[in-house]
Amino acid sequence: MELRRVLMVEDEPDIRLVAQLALESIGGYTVRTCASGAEALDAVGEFGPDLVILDVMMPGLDGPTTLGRLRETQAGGNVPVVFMTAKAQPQEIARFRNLGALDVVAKPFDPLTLSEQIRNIWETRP
Amino acid sequence: MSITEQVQERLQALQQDYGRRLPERVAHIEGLWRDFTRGSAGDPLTTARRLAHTLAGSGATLGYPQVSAAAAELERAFADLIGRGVTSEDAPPEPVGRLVRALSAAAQAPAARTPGSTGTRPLGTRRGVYILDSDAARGAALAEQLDRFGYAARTFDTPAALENAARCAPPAAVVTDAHFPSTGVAAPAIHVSDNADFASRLAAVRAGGQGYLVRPFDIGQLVDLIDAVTGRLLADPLRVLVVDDDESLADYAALVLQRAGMIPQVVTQPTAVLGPLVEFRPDLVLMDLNMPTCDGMEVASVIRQQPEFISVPIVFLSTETEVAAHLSAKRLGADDFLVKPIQPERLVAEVATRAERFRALRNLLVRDGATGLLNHTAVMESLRVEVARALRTQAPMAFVMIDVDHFKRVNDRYGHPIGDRVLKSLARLLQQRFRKTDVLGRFGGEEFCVILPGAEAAVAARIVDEFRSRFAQLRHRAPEGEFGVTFSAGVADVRDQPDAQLLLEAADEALYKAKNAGRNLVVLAG
Repeated sequence: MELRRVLMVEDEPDIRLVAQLALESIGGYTVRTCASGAEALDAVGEFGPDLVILDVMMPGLDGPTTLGRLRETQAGGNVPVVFMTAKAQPQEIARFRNLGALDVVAKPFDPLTLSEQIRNIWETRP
Repeated sequence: MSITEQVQERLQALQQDYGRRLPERVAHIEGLWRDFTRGSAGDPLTTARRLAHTLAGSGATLGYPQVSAAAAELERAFADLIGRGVTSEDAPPEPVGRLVRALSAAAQAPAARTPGSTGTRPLGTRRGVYILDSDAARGAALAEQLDRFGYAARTFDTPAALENAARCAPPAAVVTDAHFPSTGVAAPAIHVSDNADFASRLAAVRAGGQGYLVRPFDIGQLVDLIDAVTGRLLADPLRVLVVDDDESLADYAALVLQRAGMIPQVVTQPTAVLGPLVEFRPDLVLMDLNMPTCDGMEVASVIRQQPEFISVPIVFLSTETEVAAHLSAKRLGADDFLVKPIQPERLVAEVATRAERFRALRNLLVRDGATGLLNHTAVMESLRVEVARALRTQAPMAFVMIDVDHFKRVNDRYGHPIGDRVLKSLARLLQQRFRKTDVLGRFGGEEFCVILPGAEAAVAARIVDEFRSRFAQLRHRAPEGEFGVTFSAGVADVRDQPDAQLLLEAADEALYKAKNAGRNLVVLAG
């Protein structure tokens, strides 16, 4: 299955804009952004993403909590999630995978290669 | 305007906007720090830390790599103060004062020309090869060919352009026309030239080149060279196990090593070192010599008792007087002593040289020369480790046996060198399509295997089937013409066969069924 629709959840507007630019213009994906976990929970049903990129550290609902809530919903029960975080040590990555994330993208990310990273993660998913 | 140029332009606009607002954000953090030292209410320190964290995570993405670095240091300083419960009365002016000034300076500095200089290697990207050739058409043609072999190749016609790009996204290797002997990039370089004479080759060696090809050359030769100078593991950061029961010292060493691009793991209970040793598989152990709870030398002896760890380098950090006392006991397992306090650059250099040498030696022992995958012994060892881990964590794990179909026929019809190339293509494709956590091995001859920790057999079978289809579509070249090759595979699940040997047998049986059912097929065991 091809990756087409990506939901990007990130509270920092600068990062949101760059990621959207990178994913849309370079990756060619249809992108929707959300500024908070709460917004994301509403958007998933409406937007129907193939993949969700979730920032870990956000005020209010953080990444892991949002993932948990997402899994309880009908729309978000199975959608693959990739975390975005400044802490990308092997132990942390393993922890995030155990929480149910597909993979982790490190922050700060390179806008020119972000789409490629996401494509790789998508293509090698189990 | 090309898509990339459009994107660059828009990135620059975002970058400029970010840059305009930076001084204000730094001033905010400065203000919060001042509030904290004056004893203001409202927990300004936690807020300051959060703001520093945010800057660290965004700076480099928006073209301010120095801001990311400075903000990350500042965040750590704040975290340290918070962790130690320091109050405003006791708040030391340094190092925060210095770090805030550094952050301020970084915020004023003009951004990198190309936004996105992260300095960190992105996870999971195709390996990049940068081509430097004054002949743009020739460079582009080479890039296209390399692309077919799975490399993300980019062409540049000046060293400056290449260096600029390398700052944002460091390549795995550089292929340079001999006219540009040094590229100023810290990646292995392969020189390509029209000259085969000794003087030209010597010049390349002196410029630090790791390979030399004379035109015209076969693309397969170049790919082999690139694989040789990069190798799968060389692209992975060095793993260092830091053992010190003083957590802040351990964290400091870890930080220094991490900033140098290595992956450290900290163990503060020396008695608990064995687990991480097996699972983390460090390239080097950095250990404090004098630990009150457990003597470093004794821990080293315990590590060396096990055959797998007989040669992993162990480097001790010790004080001057201890070195004198312990020099005679070096044969108990220490490889060297570094004296505290040690300059970060020196620590990194000493660790890196030893760890790299160990890794190169280990690769010779555990990797199959022709394909670069793990050899039979090493993959069996990995299988045992992964089975044990899967059983312990009650996680699924799949094991796949792959056997090339009619391989003897390929060798007979096209010759062994071509046959070898087919196996190499399979190996390379395996390396591209499977994840870093999956273990790839050449079991023997034309037999390969894959261990997929965390994957259920049914899911693994689906992945392997997709892979089978891809491999079947590959066209292999021979003087006699192009041809295709297929493979058969058997997949077994550790939850049905909770033992390495049983797993092997089950996968083998499934493979046999696949062969009997007509080949070019993946069969699930049981």
